[in-house]
Amino acid sequence: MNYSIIGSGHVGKALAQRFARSGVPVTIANTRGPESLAALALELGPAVIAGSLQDALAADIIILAVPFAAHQDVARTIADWRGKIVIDAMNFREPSLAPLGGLQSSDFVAQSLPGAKVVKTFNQLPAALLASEPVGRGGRRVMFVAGNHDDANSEVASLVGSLGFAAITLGRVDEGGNLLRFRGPLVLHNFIKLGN
Amino acid sequence: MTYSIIGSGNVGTALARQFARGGITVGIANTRGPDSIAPLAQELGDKVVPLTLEEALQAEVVILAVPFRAHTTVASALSNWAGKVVVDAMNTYGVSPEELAGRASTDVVAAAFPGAKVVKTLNQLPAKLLAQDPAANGGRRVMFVSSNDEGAQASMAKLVGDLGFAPVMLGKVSEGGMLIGMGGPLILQNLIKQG
Repeated sequence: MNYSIIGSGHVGKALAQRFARSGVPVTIANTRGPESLAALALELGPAVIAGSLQDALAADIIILAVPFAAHQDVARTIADWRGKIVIDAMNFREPSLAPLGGLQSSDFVAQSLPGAKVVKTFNQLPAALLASEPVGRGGRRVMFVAGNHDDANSEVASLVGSLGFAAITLGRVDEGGNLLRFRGPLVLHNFIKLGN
Repeated sequence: MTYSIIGSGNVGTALARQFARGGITVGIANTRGPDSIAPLAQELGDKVVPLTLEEALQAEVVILAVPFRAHTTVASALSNWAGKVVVDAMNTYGVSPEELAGRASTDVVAAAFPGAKVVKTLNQLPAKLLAQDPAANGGRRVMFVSSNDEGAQASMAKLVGDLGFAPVMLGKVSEGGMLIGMGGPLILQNLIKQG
């Protein structure tokens, strides 16, 4: 599996730090081109590679860490997303889902990416906490994972674990996934999981 | 609010311990009568009061810590549960999905207690962990709470908080409540909420 992060704001950078610390190679891209990311890549070391959007879209698992509305622009760059796992690390920061036709935001994202298996995770912590060491206090920081495809969920849970977090898979979007919505019951909690 | 625990097995005993630690008065009853609970009450101090089943059912909040199938026996002791909060601290180990007719176990419990506001919580940790001091590892142990009744959910979240846990409300049974059902992803997780 190879990984990419699209977006180099607070969340994108926080994730790049986690990949770097864990020694898991990742390509990071934004709309301004790889030159804008050269300094970050240099700072974080060899695991983080500054790439073009094109490079990032070639990865098996693509993490969307852009502002919610911008996922539409990313979506348009590929006509067929089959075979890709897309991680929705975004939040739709509106109290009402009406602008999404009533869909949960990650179902809306999935609709924009025909063929992709969309998994929601990395969306639920403030960027500073996301970037900080997940191992501590006798356990590991919890990261919830949810999506409508079991195989993609377990692939992503395994990545989440490689980055040092304790992955807890909540199931489909209409099961546990909607608890990860903006202001939902399972967002913004700093949980440490003890034991296995 | 007045509280009682029905059941003095591992879970009931663990809960009594937490009430004693939290300094919150609680009645405790089982089918064998208050004498059988006297030694436990003596050990835990005056906050834990052994009662008859009948006395215990007078509490505003009745916590069910009996084996799952026994809830119907408790339910039949009162004909009207209106105004009461019933806490489902049970698990459905050994109960087949057919027996539940495909329903969430908390919904099955709610059907047996007409008029009660049923809240699911205190069910999700092994008894030994449930009995431990919830203040640990720089934070407090998480206890999930779910109910179809928002008011009852909030008041039980407050109780759970007063007992020292970090309450996290999951919403209705059909939403987050399923996650703390048997085999659910949030059951048997030893989570410590920081900050």
